[in-house]
Amino acid sequence: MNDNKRCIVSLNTTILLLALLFFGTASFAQQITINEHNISLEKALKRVRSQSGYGFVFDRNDFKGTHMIDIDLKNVSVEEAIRSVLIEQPLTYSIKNKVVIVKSKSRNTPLRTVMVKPVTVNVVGLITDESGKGLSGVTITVKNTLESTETSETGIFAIKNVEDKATLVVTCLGYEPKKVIATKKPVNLKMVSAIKTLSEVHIISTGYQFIPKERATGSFVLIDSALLNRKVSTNILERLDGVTPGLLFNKNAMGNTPEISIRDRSTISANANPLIVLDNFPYDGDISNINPQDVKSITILKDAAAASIWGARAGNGVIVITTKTGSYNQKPLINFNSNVTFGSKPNQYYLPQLTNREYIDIEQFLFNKGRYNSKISSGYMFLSPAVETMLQRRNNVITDAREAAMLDSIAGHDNRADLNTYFYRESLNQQYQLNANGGGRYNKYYISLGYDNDLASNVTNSSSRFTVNANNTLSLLKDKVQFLTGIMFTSSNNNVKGSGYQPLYPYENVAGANGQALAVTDGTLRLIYADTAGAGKLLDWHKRPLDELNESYYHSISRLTDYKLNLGVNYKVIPNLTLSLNYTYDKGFNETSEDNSQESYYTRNMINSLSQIDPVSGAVKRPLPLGDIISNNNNSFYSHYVRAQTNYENRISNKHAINVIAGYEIKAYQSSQNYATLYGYNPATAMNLNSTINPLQDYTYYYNSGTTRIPVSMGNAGTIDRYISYYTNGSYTYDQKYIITASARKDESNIFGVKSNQKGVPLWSTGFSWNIDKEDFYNFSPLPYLKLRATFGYNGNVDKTTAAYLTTQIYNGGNIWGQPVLLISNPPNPSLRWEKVRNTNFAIDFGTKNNRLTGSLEYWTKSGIDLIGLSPIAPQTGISIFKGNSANTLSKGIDFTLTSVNIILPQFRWMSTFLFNYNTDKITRYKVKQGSNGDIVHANYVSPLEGYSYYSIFSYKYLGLDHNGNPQGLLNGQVSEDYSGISNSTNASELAYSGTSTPKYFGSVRNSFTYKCWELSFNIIYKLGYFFRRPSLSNYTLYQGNGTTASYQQADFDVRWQKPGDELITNVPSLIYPGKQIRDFLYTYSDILVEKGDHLRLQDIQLNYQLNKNKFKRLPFSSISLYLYAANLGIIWKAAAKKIDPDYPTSAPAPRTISLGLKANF
Amino acid sequence: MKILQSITLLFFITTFCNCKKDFLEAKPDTSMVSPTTLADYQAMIENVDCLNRTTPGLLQMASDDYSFINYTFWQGTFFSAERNSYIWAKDLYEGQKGVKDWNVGYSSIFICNNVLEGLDQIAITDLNRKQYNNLRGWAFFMRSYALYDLVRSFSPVYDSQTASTDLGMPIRLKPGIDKIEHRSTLQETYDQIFSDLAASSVLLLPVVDADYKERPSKVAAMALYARIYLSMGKYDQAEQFADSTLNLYPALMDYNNADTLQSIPFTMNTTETILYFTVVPNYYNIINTADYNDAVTINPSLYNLYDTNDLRKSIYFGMNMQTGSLYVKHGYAGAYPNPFTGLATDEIYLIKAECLARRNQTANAMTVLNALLINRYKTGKFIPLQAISQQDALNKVLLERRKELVWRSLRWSDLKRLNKEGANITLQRILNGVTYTLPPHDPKYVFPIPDEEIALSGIPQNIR
Repeated sequence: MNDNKRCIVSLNTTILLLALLFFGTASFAQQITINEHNISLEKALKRVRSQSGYGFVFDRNDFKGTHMIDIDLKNVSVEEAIRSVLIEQPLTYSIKNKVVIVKSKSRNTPLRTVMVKPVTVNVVGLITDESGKGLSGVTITVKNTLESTETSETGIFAIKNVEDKATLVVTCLGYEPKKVIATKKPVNLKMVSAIKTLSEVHIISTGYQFIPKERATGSFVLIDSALLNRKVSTNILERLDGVTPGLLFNKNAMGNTPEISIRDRSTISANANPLIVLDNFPYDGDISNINPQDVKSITILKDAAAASIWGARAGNGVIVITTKTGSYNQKPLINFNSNVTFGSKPNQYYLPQLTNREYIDIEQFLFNKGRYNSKISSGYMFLSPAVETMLQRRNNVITDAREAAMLDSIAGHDNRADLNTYFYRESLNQQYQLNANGGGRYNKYYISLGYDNDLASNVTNSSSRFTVNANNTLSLLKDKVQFLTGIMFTSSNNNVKGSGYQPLYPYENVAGANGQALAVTDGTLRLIYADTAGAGKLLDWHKRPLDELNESYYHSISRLTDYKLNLGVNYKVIPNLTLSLNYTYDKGFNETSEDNSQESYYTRNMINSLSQIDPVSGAVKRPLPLGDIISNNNNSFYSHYVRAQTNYENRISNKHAINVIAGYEIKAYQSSQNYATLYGYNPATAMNLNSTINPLQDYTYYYNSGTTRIPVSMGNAGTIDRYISYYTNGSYTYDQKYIITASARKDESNIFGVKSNQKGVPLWSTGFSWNIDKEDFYNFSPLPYLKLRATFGYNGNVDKTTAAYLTTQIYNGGNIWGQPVLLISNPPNPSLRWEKVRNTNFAIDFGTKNNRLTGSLEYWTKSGIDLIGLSPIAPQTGISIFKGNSANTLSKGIDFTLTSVNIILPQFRWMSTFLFNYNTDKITRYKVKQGSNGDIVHANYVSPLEGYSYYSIFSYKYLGLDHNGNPQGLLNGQVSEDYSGISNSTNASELAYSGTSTPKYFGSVRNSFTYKCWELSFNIIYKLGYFFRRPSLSNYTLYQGNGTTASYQQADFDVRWQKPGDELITNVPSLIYPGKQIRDFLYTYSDILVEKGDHLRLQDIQLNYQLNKNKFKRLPFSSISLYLYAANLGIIWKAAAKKIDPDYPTSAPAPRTISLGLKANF
Repeated sequence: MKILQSITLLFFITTFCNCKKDFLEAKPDTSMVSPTTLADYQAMIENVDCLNRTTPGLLQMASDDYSFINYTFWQGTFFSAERNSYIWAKDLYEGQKGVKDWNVGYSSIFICNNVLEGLDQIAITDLNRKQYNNLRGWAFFMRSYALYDLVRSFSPVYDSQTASTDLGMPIRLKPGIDKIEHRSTLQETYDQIFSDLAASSVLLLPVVDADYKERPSKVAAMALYARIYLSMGKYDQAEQFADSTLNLYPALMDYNNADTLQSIPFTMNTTETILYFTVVPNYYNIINTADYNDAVTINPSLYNLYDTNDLRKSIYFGMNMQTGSLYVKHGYAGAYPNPFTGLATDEIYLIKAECLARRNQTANAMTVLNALLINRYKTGKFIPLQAISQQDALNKVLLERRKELVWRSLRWSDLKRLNKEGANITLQRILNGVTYTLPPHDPKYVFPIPDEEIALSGIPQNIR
């Protein structure tokens, strides 16, 4: 974001006139009561000010020679009070917009003498923004002179001895410059924003304080409400995608990849997610609880100076969400926002798949090989419809012709059509939000109600959310004390009504000719076995996916409730010193209840599997009782946060400004979980039959001699997270040119098994910024705004799953003797330390004349030190994976933002915003020796190679196929088919390094056009310089995984090696029987399957229409706008030739959505 | 103002009541335990899935008790080690990861070392002495058992001539994972096993716990001594410890009381069991008991060794009705699918009988053998065995040993031992028309150490 909000800076103390200011509203009680003897005029006016809330402007010089007065007023109006005070004084006054301007009477008397000098006037005035709020930091220059001044904090200015009728030029970054003629009449000028979106956000929030961006040295990004509301989504964080510099949404993730990463990564195995702060405190609830409509702005803290205030939890950056509040002295505003979003069905045909015919041919091949013989001979194990047909042929039950006809009929049915018809639908999402806000002299408030309803693309899934958000700020004791109260309440339900379905065969048929539910094999039992098993004594053993969609068969509901209570008090001890105390209590629970009724296949199968029929009496014994199976899982958490903070602010002369905060904070978080599975549940009576179950008894399956125990899942668990932190953060500004900031923080936490003195980690940062444009020597007029910034410091990260001592985990259920068992979860690690991240940031902010071009360029580095990583370790130690401080990383990059106002015409405006990010990361130290090349290509991130990125993609060098279609690799410099040798080799130089799986360059180009009441914008995002591994044919999965989705959802089957000579035209190995995994791996992890991920994507388009109020005067709205938003529109360009979305190599891409919405203000 | 007061109060309380230490001492996770008490250490060592399942599956898979039904089944095995064990291939693993045959044994040793180190921190009192000593003995015992299971798989058979140069196992006596141990000599490995056994035998409770067969006792220590000395060919010591075992615990079960039709004829606490152990909890379809394992069949030559009146024929084996293949039923491991490899009195009777035969106590050897066999035949059908010579006695004992201890992972050690003594047994398998043979003294009798261990610790691999 451009740092062009300088107008808010309120340090100007060079005012010649002392301006005392205050604003009030008509709602304020205008009754003035003063009873004083022998007080000065100034003091008397101050009394009036404090009681009226009016602002006063006067020149102390005018008060010279005024006499002391006695005053006795009781319940008089403001004007009357002023008149009484000024009576018999050589002064006059005028009142405008609740500002009283007091002037010397003599200056009003016309000059009789012709002056030699030009006539001069003293000009006072008020500069406001479009909403009428005083605008600070506005420069008023007398044209053709050096004289200038700036407005004070409330927008008031005064300039003395200006030539009458001289032109005053009023300029402020982000606003259109204006001119006024200097006269004695007070100026009252409303500035017009130069660029609409740039005017709205001025203040960044660190979660500890609000600071003007100008005073910051660190790397902050502000996303204002206009930009947040450009998108339509139920989740607030999604709205940051594509509009936030330095922030990447990771789509095709590997290893410990967070959903969002800020400036690449700086951890290996610890939490890699940014810290989310909601208003003052980290948010422990589910992010989906936050209604985006309640959010005013989001600040992203990227570097040390920005984030180190959050200390040990800021290693991955911080996202500070600031919610809406009301404003003082504002009449109630009511806003209503509603939208509806339609999403297309997920594309069932996106992933490549064998044709049914091809798949049946494979099954025929396996059948002939005898692959199914053991299943057939078992009598009960599942077979596909095609194999059943082949078996009938083999048993001479049917003829060749009949077999062919039956297989044709099977092949003729595409299961994807069933999925489309019965299991997926167009998604529909509705959002409604109503809020009211406003405020009086003493308070401001905001209250909102939100309701969302979502019908997901799975026919079984739906959810709804209800949110209430209310906050109020009370200002008391002449604004010395402020009370802040707030409550957020969210209640949401996630429903699953009916079971989903995953076909085992591509031709599986779930519906008969009349749409009746057909039975399919469940992957365990053969259909003909299920037909006759138990001779009617058991429950029906068929699985019919269409019936399973029935809500009464299966339903689960997950109720999420979250209360957040905020209390705060700020006390201004003296004008420079404020003490504040904040407290937040957050409580959330998630109650999930799953009901598999006795009708459901799940329950029928479980009951039948353990049933035994007495061969003599024929009686059925059911160890698992009849009735529903219910699983309840209740999670809850609460957290208390308390913070005590001192804010000190001072300006010494007009050169020095100091701002310091220091504080202390405590967090106590506790979560608990309890769960239970109830068997034989009767929903009518809520009774269960768990007491009849013996969990230590081995029961034999009905269909084979295997045994199992009935899982009695019941228990509870909990976690505790505690922090005590001390922090301070300060800035010093000299002459508005140089700003120095520093922060220090110590966090202590309940890290397990660490001595008290090792529980804490001290972290610090410092920063410097230089407003070059304020220097006298700077007069480069094309670039009137130029600022340099630099920061350095440390953030941290903690991984609470590790411990310094031997720690063990209770093994639920104990051993088979029922004895309690502790499993070792952590070997002793006495050298365990906190992770640290060293940050540096260098930045330039700039703005050209009239802000036609504004932007910033930042260069950053992050060094992760003592990172906790997983490493393979010789199994003789007793463990094979070890977690410890084993790594250092170095990442660096560039964030660049440029906003350009391309065209400004009275009715048309075209603006572009360009974001560019470059980042790389590298593992610089890794303690433990690497394993084999097989480890590196499969999962390098488990123990990343030094000198390469965490996200590196390594591959086997592929040397094509031999004349038998066998894949060939490289081993000891030779062409080799020794697949285990290639995998076990530790010579990493024989691997190919492609690059990273995360983009090295990414960003977006957003254009917006405004014409009259129309606004159109679209965002194109780009990701460049990265790679992904394309799935191809796996021999092993095809043969061994027969009867799974993965076995038929494969690419390149048709281009595999089939006959000698094919090796010249294809790289896809031949199929061998049996499939060998290790042979597959050479091809699957070969460099020829690594594709460039580079692409350009049309992320979204938004169209907004603002109704012209003048045309609809009778409507009760003060403004109304309609909008249309379309997202996930598709790829514009990509480097890879294959028809595959680089963000979605293994699953269908996010469906396109289109939203229609309405916003109204009353 | 009440809110303000209460917040201030809370603030001051938390700041000044000096409870900061306790505040930060809270466990991050309720299920996390830093073991400190005897109960904690007992719970660690009750980890049956690790400690009582250390026997490598390779031992049974390489042995000559079974055959694959056909080539297809052989080709279709899930893991390379299953296929390759069958044909005694040079590379058993072919890149297979996480080979439990090696890893679980060392995980067991790791737990034992942690328990031993933890116990050092606990003061012994009159109240806890019994439990304390038993736990300590338990840890010593399990460490020696795991190390023996490893050494009999990954090292050559003991030979006093070469033991001080033959490669043994890495010996780990401390829980610290930062140190890599090199391969000790075979002599050092056996010395360590015996030193742990000696320590455990004076600490463990003297009786077998009838309800908790996973817990070792002094009886188990004696029995393990007997088993190891036998495998080393030290028959005097083997007999001495077999006697010690049987003096303490001579119980045998009459198989006439077992239900021959049951697929699970025994519980996991059978009377004969001295200590419950199984093959590593693994993937090996070949060695899983019960009828759903239909890839392999028991060799008819083995099956036909059993007399029709021998109850073991129907208790040990079942026939798959569809294929006619023979499978091994659940044995002393109860319902658990991996076969029993622990210590039981039947093995000790056989050790005693063998040792007697070897020192030419022919009649006594037959008496001990008959004492066992009377419990294995249908009531009234058993004709006591008689030996006409020392060799006859030994042959009879070894034949019964083969029949009684089938699928208990002892065959491989016996083959190594007997071949060393000149039995000259050559194993042979025919697969897809190819004949594979394993001559006596072949280096392939020693399994290769998994690739991960070699790659990460750099210890020398066995030459096959």
